[in-house]
Amino acid sequence: MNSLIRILSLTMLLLFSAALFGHVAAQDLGSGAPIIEPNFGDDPTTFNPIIANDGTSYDVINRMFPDFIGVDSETIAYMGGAKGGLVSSWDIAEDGVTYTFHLRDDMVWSDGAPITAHDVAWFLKATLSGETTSPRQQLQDSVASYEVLDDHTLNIVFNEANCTLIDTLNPVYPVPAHVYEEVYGDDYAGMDENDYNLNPTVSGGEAFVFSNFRPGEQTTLLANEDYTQAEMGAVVPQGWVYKVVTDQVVQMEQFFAGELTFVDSVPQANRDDVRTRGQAGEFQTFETPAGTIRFLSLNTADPSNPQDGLDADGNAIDQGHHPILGDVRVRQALNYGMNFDEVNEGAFFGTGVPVASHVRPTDWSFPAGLEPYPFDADAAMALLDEAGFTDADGDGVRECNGCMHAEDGAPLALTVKTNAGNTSQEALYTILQDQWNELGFDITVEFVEFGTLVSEFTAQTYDAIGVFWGLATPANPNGIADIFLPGADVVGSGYNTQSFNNPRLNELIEEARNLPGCDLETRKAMYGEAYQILRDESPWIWISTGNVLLAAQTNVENWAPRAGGARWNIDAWTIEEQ
Amino acid sequence: MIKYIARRLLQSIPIFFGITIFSYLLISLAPGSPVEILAFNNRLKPREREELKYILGTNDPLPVQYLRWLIGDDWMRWDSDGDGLADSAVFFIDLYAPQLNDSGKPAIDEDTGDVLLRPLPAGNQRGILRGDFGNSVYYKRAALDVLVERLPATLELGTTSLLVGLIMGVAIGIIAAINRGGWFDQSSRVGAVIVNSVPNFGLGLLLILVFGVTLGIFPLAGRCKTTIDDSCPPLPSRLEYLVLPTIVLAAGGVAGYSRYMRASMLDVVSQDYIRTARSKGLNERSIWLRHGTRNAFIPIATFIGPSITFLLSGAAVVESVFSWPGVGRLIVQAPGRRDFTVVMLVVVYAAIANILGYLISDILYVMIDPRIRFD
Repeated sequence: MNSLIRILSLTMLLLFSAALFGHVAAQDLGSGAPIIEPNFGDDPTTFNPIIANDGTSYDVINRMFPDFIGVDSETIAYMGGAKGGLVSSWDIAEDGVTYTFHLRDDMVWSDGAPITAHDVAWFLKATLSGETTSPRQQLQDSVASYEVLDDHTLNIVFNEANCTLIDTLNPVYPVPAHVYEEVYGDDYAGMDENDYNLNPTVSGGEAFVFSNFRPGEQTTLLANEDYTQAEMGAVVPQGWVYKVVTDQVVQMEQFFAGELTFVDSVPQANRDDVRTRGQAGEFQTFETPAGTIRFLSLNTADPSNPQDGLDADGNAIDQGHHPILGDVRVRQALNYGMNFDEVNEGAFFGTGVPVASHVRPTDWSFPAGLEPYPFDADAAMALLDEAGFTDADGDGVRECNGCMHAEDGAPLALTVKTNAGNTSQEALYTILQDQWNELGFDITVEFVEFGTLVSEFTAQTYDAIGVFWGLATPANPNGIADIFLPGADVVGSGYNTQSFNNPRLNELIEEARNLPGCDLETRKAMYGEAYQILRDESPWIWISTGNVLLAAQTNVENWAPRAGGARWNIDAWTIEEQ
Repeated sequence: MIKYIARRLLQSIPIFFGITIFSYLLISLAPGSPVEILAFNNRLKPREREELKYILGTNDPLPVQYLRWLIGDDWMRWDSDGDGLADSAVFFIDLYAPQLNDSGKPAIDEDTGDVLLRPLPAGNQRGILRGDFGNSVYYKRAALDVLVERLPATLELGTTSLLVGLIMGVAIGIIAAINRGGWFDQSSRVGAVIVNSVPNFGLGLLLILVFGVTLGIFPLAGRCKTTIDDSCPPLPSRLEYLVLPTIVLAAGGVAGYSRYMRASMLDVVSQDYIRTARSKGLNERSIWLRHGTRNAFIPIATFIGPSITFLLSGAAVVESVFSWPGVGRLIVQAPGRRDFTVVMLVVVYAAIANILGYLISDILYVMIDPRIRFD
């Protein structure tokens, strides 16, 4: 009888334990259904991290190669030992330029070879040769030398000490040196043409390993049996399929039909529907700030005579003045004259978030008091009056009557260009045209083919051009701020196309980059002042960032996206049969 | 016939070169370069953009760029001593390029005031006349490979829709002509107008919503089932994927061919030889099908050539709606990306397809109409 009680008690205990800890018990490798994710775009161009230069390729590379330095998905900052990163910690020598990186010793490639410092060194060797076709100037400029101290320790010496050195290592990945040496040798310039780029035999260190690529259809990765950072002890999904779906309507219908596991950006037109159905329990949803920012670049210089910002000796070159936008009051009036609520409803289905700068509220350098311009038509008109643009003839369009840079009588007319075919951009500038014309502007809006638009943008021959850009994660505050330095004002290839030059801003950006000791709070204050200058001087009108809505099927267990990464625990996603 | 074909092909050579020169000029003179598109990234520096211009050769004069595309650059700049750098060049080609400073401008030697130079690599392109179409600027690999790997999907869809369009269109046209003024004739006319009025993407989405989403009869898109393994089974095992895109692509063909066939048939049956056939006592079936149809096919042959061109060049809209991995999407995307090598490859491909298409049309004329000779 006692034995029976003991057996029963033991059984109960086991059942209780299973119920309690069952969800973290080790899973069998690839025991769950594969994840099918839509690729709304085009094929990856390469699976070689050394030459990758497009988002689609990186989408795949990030699933099958570890980062050099991982990003913590909660703090959205580079961190030693962060999941998905090879670096476990690093030390900075007193000289401020020598970094010693200590690497994890438990990562292996799919052929069983360990992932070591030699694999990072091979990446650096190829990239620093300057012979590969992919642009990596930031890395080439910052790294002076590197040395493998042992299999799991790497020294990198930078050219100068500053606070953004870790950011410059963002493109670095370990690559299987033993394979790359054999496949590519030292022909870095010819790397592009090697068939191995799209048929890699060795990958690893991440949740999946490469399986196959069907052009125009799908890229398939399989669960990595040697993945040591799996949340559940082993990678649960059988694989990850990146499926090309080129029409957004069809993409969403496939998702609704259960053919896609999750969608990482629900189109604006479907968001209300998905939210509602999500609340009804049909899908899992998650909303997070987007990594893009919309802006209208205002040319402050004479568009008929574009000039570089600096001469060969580094002295500022006179830029002339844009007849209308050369006056900061006009630029501020455009800001005050933007009714964001109306724009948001009309162009972004209510999903836009007004911004005052290119820094996102989730970025560490975001200053607390930085506010977007409020909509204030009276303030806008007062500024235009003050700037000498008044409507003397009563035709509804203001003219120059004693303004700073235009001839008297010249109408307050501007041409705003944006990329054709992007419906939200087209709607945005059509609405803004009406709003600004109400103030007395004569705005012409042109929708231009993208290549032509970029050409005009870099040629600096425009009045105002509206585009949007992706922001880096983790954010490097100097990333976009550097664009406003006079050194980036290079006709034809620099992006300070508005020819903005503010000495205090230049000083702040350089000081924040090079601050001895890199104290975060001091740097944050410096960037805060810089952002305030940009907001007040308005070389761009920062219009909006937005939220992205992610949605997954309800049968995906452990789907727990974070602002710092939707797929941080993709290895644990468990897809139940429905 | 062989002499005729050879003569036609020889006549095509100047046409071919004319097309390539015109197209090359057109795309080169259009605003926006591959560098501006590829390097539209705020993390890149001016020097990287300038460097990219040297790598892609977009800094060279237009005639040099065209010549390089046509007959390669391995004869323009070459490496005699095997050190990997060019040491000899023809008179109009530079052996050196300026070193660039951070602004992407030529770097100046502070002591001498001269521009600092660096040697350029030897040319390695063979040009299209030697079978080298160059690397795609976007895909970073042989443009020909990019096109060829998408060709089977395009041929699959194009051939099916051409056959369906032709067979159904001709059949409907004949029946409509025989029943002139009847309900079938009227219905086919109304149907043709409706089909021609509905844009392809609209029809495609409608079919997906009805037959894919609501009824669940056909897959929503794609060419084969999404699987974890590397398998797209042979066509007979996945015909269901072909049905909806074929209907959309063939619909226009059915409408067009049926109207042309009907008009052509009615024209033929009013001819004297048909009246003679009737007076000889031939039955109606024989008159319509043996004498009428064969002669009515002659104008239809005119459309077969261009249809073959269409078959080879894919249908971008339908391929996009159905995520069909064909060349159509590639053709549409390449100019937007300023992927000059792919655009020019497509021009060559389309030119050859057109030349062959019209040649086939002419051969069909002779086969259908014995009065026409290869003269």
